[in-house]
Amino acid sequence: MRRALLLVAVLVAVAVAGPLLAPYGPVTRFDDHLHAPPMPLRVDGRGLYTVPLRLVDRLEQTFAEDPGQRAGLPWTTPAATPVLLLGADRLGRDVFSRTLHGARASLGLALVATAGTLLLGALLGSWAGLAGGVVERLVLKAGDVLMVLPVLYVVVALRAALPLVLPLPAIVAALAAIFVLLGWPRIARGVWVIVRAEARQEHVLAATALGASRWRVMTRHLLPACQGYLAVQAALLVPMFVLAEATLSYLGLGFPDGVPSWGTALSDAATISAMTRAPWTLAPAVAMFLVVLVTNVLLEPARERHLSGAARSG
Amino acid sequence: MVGLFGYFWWGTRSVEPPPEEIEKVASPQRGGVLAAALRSEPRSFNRLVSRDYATQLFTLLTQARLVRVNMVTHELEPWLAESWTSSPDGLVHTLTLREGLQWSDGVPFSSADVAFTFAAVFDPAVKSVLASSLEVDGDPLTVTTPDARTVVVTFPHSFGPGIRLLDNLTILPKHKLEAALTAGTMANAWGVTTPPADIVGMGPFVLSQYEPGQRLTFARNPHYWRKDERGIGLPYLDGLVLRIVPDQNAELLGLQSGELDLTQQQLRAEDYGTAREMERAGRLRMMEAGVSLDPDVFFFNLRPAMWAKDPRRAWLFSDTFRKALNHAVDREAYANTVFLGAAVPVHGPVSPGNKMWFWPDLPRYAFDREKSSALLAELGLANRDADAFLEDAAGNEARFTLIHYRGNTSIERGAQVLKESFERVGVAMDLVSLEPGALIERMLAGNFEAIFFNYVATDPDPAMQRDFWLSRGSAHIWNIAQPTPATAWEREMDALVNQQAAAVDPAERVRLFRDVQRVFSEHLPAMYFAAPRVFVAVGPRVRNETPGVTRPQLLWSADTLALAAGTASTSR
Repeated sequence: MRRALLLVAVLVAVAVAGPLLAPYGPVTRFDDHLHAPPMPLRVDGRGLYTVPLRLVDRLEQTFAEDPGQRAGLPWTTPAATPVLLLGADRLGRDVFSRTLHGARASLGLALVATAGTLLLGALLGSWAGLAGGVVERLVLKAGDVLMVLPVLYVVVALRAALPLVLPLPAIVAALAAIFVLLGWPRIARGVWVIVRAEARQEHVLAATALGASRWRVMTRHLLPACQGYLAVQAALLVPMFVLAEATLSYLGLGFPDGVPSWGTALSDAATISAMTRAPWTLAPAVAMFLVVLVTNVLLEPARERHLSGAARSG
Repeated sequence: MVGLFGYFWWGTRSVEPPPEEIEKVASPQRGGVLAAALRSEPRSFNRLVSRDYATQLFTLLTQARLVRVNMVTHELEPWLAESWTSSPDGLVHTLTLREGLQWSDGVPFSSADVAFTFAAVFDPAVKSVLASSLEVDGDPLTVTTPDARTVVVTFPHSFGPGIRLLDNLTILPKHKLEAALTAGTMANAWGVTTPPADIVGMGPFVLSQYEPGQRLTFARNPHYWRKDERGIGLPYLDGLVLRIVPDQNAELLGLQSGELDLTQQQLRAEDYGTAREMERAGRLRMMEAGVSLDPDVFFFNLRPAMWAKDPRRAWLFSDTFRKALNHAVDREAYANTVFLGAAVPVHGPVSPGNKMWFWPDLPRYAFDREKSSALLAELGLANRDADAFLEDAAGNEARFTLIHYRGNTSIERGAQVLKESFERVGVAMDLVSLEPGALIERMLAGNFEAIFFNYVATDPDPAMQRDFWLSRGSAHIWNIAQPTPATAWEREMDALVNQQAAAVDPAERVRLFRDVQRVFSEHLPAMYFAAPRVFVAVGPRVRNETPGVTRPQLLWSADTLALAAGTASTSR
């Protein structure tokens, strides 16, 4: 659980601090550097530096290093001399900066949606487990219905039902609401199983016999038993929602074109020419891959523990 | 000048057919099958009822017209009609059909087929999409056929382009379709499930197989009438395959692998580099066809009802606002960023590619941010809350929503550049990308604030585009199909366009069209920024291509396309 919380904390830090580290704004364009390749950092006696690029052929988008020229790190070099550590995209925007700016939108949305999904799933799952009867059947059946729906079509339909143009906070809220709506059943079912098992424990039976309210039993005795499960789910949901945002933005249903996110950046790179001649524009995909990879590596022990625990109890 | 405008001279004269010379590479080879891509499937094989591009291309390959507009020279050429004469008033045109023509099934062709086609087009039960294009001021052309080789077409009103109008009309086989027309089922004839053998034509190819979702396969029309200068029957190709390839990325890969032989439409700017690399590797040849006739167009919704209750009406609906935005755009930088420099800046709907009608002295709005800001200030827009954008006196932000095509990369890039350009003068523009169908639906319903898309004109002659210029036109995109002109300047433009279309003197037509462009430029109902240079690519075995700037850039002359010697036997 500690690893999961640490991972979420790291992702929050990246979302908050990422744009602060970006050397250029997300829409700053360098007209003579469309699809310019990355400018690697070099070292000599005077420290780190890069070699500026000059445009050779605009139509073919070929560049050459300017021998004898030298530029420092992008944070210290005048904006007129672009230092593009990860190259430029089709509009001459710094891919490194846009990846950092995109982290805020992509991770921010994923974190908000994860929090909402966990909250709703935990509440409904524990309520169903504790109440039983009609409530239990209703919650579980509703979850089942949502889980068998074709997710992409539902998302497309829900997004299409919203106005074409929304302010950015409204877009984040709308996308998060859609993710929560489709994500809670899985959490609720897991919490329900744990609550059902936990409700038979002696300390819970004792609390109930002593007259504790349902709310108290739920918050003091049952939900704490779900902490580990929820923490692991949180760390799994974040990358899932990052990918969901990328998919929706790629389809034009997520963030609008002007908002830098990993999904919109990948949408910009979605031509065969961009992928083969300017593969650096896929940097946001690498960022997403890292999020998923790190999540899986960090959570593998926790997952193993859950599996072995389940096997023992089974 | 005489050469330039010569074909608009409508005095009584006889037009001699130009020699049937097939230009370009000497001695093209006969034989072989060529493969190209098709983005979407045809909705029908009946051009009378379907206007989608796939149907148009199918018709181009399998059918023929009385006269043809050459896509390279834009001049009118004799086709099924070998010559014609026109009356002094330009109303009556007598066409003489070529002798000995046959349909692809061997049945003789005659003027009765022409009369039948006119009857089908104007039959109310057919509801033909071609009917309005064969009318002048709402009245249809009439046709009589004194004998088997003579067709007399009478125009209801004077019309400058004359029989150029007939380039729209595909001649249909009476012996195959008369029963359908009589039974009132013509609109359903030649659907996509019709057996290929039932579809006959006068074009260079006949459909031999249609595999939905896969390909259309064409074979040489054994009765095609055209021959090259050596007397060899065209088409050179034995056959043609159109593979259904919905995605332009896949088309490029197909070209790279040799599965396809030519690009179906112009290359995207971002593919120039890839194509050049492939050219250097000998996998294709890339060529420039010229400057596009159809620059991307940006326009606001100018329907008064749209803005009646909108608090932004005072400035968003005004000419001054549009002029301010025009001054805010650096067209050179736009061309460099959006088209990688392979474009020319334009200031109106007629690009330099339209050599006949381009007016280089059209009044312009030079890139000048200070002037732009001054014009916005005139409208009462000022930055009142110290953010990045202007507001009017009531506090409404200078902001609007632009809808643009999704998937069209030059439009997507252009929209981003415009957004940034407008933001530099304090005007915010929200971008929404939509599928083409959804965008057109909104445009027709008037449900938009501004649109940025590509409008494809059917003919460079403005009189053939009156749907765009006239206020009652269905392509008067900023305020479609007005019962009466909504503004004084549109009324003035209507009068000028009608005069221009009716004039028969070429110089007079040019003068009048410049007046039309002047009014257009003064009020800017639509804005233009750059016209791309059109590049196309063909595989290494393709020969004798004659690329034009409008689509289909290469297949418009499919009968003269050929394959290199020694490659014709390759199976497709």
